[in-house]
Amino acid sequence: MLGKLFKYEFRHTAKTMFLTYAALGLFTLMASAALYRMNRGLDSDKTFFTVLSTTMLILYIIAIIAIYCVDFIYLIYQYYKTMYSAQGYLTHTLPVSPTAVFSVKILAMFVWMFFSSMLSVLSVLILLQIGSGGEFSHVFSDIVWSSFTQGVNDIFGISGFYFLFSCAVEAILGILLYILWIAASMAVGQLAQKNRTVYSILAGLAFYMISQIVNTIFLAVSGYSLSALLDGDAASFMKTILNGNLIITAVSLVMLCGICIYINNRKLNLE
Amino acid sequence: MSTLVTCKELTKSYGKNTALNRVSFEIESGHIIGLLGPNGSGKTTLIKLLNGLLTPTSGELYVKKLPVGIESKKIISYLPDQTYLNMNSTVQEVLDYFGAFYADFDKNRALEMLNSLQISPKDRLKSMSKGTKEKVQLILVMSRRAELYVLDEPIAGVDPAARDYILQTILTNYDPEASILLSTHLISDIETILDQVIFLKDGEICLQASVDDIRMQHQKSIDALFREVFKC
Repeated sequence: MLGKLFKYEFRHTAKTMFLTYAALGLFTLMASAALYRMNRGLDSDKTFFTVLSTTMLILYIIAIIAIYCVDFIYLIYQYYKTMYSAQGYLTHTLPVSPTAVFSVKILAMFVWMFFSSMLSVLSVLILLQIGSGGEFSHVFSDIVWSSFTQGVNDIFGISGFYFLFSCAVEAILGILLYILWIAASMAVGQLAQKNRTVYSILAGLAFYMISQIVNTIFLAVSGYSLSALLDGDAASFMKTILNGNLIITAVSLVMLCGICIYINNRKLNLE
Repeated sequence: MSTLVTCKELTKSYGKNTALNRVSFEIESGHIIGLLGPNGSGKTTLIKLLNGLLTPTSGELYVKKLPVGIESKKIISYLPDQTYLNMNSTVQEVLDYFGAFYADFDKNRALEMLNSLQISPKDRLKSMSKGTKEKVQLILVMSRRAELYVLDEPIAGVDPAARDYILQTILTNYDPEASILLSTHLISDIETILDQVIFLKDGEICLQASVDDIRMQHQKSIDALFREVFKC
């Protein structure tokens, strides 16, 4: 049944998601061409083309942010519609466990948003590579990467690869955290008899405040490493921050997931 | 005959409001039961509890001696009182979806019924009229070889001709061993097909009897008795 749930979940959202990916591809190509022309000075004596290229680059920046937001909002809207709105009547009468339904929906959302994130990064890399006439990869591998790894190693005492890997793991878990944060807010909101959207927003704010309090406590507790940074021991500081964030994120994920599963299993309250 | 549904002291409260108050009844297989009551009497709440869309405040609810859950959803075919399908889907996509998740879904039976109504499987739900959408939903629900069909207001909001079609579809497509629990307040339209009724008033059962017994005892039609019991 899990396989079927995944299949229909992806099928249900694929059309819109691929459309946004196609739009991102189109904007990337147009912006790359514009950057290439600007970089080569092809438009320097043609005002119209200079304005056009600049406009394309501005549009690209707006588009890459907008498309990412649209993807996220669309997926969240679909989740709400199929879990707590009219379509929830079908979702929750399927002969599968509420936990399976919830897990598949969250994982499918995560996979789409992971793709969206990767494609956004890829889009920027393509823009820089084409826009620079193929020079970006050489400059990056010869100068930027070595300077970066050397700098990270000198300051924090860890390898640049480890630093980037840790940041990537944090970013990926961050996507899941945001998805679960909103899912848990909706789950709490649907417990109310009316004004469910308002209650969902209030629940989201409450979760946000709790996370801020936890983060503040963590920073206070790890104050010694801030002293270490001031004393010149940046490695200890960075290690504490990276590991601490990872633990806080992991605990938050488990708690938000638990809230969603508990409510969907024990307190479902469809309108 | 076997007991399909057992409901003991079932209560559902929304804050201070009690939608269902200590409701107890049993449903045997092989019956068409009318769940009758005015708006706000608790019919939809009871149906939602039976389908696991709400959780009871207290009491017990069993379907074939099992609590409401995956196993009960396998044998209950539920028609809600609103459109619950993805409007961007085609009829064919919805048929595939039902076929994938419900082992008792008879796709050929659904296609026959769609064909008789000249509804193409390629049609998108959003391009259909309200009445046609309701017919498609009913066809999907009645194409399952379920043991219990739970139909919430299946004839509300459709024209009399469509009502006839809906009732005919219900009667000709359910297994005589199965039961149908049908909620409505349009009693005169469905009176002829019922063999048991449950009257719900302010969240409590005020009458549960067979239609024949009611006619014998009260010398009245169900519609007349309903008007008398629920007189404002």
